Amino acid sequence: MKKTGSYRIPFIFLLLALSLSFVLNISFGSVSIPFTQVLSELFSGKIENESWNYILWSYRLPKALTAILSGGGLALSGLLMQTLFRNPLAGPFVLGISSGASLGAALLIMGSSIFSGILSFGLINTISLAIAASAGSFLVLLVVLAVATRVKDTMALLIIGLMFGSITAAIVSVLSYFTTSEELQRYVYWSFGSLGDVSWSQVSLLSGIVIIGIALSIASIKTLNALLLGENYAKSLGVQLQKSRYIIIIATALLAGSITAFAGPIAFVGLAVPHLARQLFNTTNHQVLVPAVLLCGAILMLLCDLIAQIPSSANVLPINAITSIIGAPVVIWLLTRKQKMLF
Amino acid sequence: MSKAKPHTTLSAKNISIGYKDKVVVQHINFEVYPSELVAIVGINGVGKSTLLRTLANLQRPLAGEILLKSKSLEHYTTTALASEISIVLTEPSASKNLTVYELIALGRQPYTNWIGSLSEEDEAKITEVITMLQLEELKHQKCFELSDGQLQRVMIARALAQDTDIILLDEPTTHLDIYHKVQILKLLKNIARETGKTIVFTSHEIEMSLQLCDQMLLLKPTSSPFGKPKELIAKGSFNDLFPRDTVSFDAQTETFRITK
Repeated sequence: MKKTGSYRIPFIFLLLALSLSFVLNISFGSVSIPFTQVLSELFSGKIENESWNYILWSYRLPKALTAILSGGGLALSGLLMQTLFRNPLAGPFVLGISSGASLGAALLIMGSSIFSGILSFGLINTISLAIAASAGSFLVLLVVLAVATRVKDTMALLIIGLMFGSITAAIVSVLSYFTTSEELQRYVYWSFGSLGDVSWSQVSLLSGIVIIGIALSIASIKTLNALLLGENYAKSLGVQLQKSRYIIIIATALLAGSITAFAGPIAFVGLAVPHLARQLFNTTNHQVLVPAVLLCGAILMLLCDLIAQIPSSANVLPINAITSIIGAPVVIWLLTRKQKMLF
Repeated sequence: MSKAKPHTTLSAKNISIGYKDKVVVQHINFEVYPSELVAIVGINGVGKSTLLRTLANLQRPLAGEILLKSKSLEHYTTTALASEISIVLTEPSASKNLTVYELIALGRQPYTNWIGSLSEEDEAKITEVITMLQLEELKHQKCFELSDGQLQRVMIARALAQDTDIILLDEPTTHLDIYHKVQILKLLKNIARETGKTIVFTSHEIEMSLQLCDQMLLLKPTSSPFGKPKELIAKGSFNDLFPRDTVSFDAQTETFRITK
């Protein structure tokens, strides 16, 4: 592997891009705050208008942080899955992990009224939503893994991911038939994906989970590199397959599950960003790729959110639509340019 | 130095191989020593790959015992085994996006730290292997750009970089033309001579193996003779390998002939 030091320049570039998109992201929104005021608030804590202060601190900053966490986290979970499943098309959305999270969320949001006899907690707070969504994604991942060990054909995995999407859609439509319109609306809004509406306490919870996911991924870097050769070679290099697989899956489920719970199902970031990072750094070494996808994912998400805001307008587009509009062409471009996708 | 026979590196004591519900081959016995090039030959589907996978501890023998340096293979942890046995399988690396250097460097994993950073010693070893296998020019190429023969050499280089006393190779010469077949086998022979490693490979190139190997295991479902090529020929072990009305073995020329 090339010395990690030789990647310093692209990393500095990415860090600069991240800071720039962060500042841009919090500078634009439904209320226009002069750019100089944003900078002065960030660096010296002085701002002319008290309501601008409130908007920045209670709305835009937590939203920007959620964008960084979810963009980086989803991209990392995509990278983990592409390596684990030896499949360049793997990602939280394609493999049905997001569907699993949606199913967990749907059952919690809409199912609680139907099964109120059993689930009479009435506590659909964000924490229970995060747990339900993570549990859903973890279950789907386990099924996908069970199939992946039995079926060598990578196409089968993708089809199974699609099937999970269908099952989720079916259960959601059954649930929505019986549920109240308020809960249905709540679920539909959740499924649009949104980075806003997160409080500081929720941001800190999300960052806690994402940091655990990142730590587990960093601990798996050596294993991930060995897995590039295939499982048999990895084992012959001293990798304890069973254990490492579970660590990687838990990391993926924590990342994809918690982010989906807080921000809704966000498509394509997990699939496209690892490919972009590989193009950018021209390596498959996870020592480089893990930080690279975190940075690229965060930047992409901040920019998508910036577009979703439609600067100086009161409307906010669903973030899921924006990532798909940007992500799908990226994947098509990669496919047609390189003839075949590699991981 | 003492003239005593060197200790075996790998030996099989009456092992049976196969899968849960199906025994593939029974009563396999052999002993291999340092610096030896050993071929496991047999007809298609007899269980050569299964035996190799068993020796690599990717699956367990159904009966009997495999000894690695006179200690049972079962008693090695995955980590300990990684610095004793390296493998080259028929499946190439899962990711074709690795560069040649990156792929060979992965062979150093048993010796690198928790995050897999290469020390100077690791890099020296990798450079040594690259020089030995004449891969300098391919060093920065990606695996998907290589030909089958080049990729095979890279996979062998990776196993060498792992610096184990035993290298197991599954069908290292399939998909190669006769020139590249000979090239790979002679390369293996040289590696065994120069480094003192034990190299065991499966092959259906029986004639080439007869010319190059120190010992051979002729895998057959019921009894699998093992020994030096000349001994096996003298014992007539190859005579009934194939149905005689189709292909027969000629002991004089050490070749198989089509029965006309």
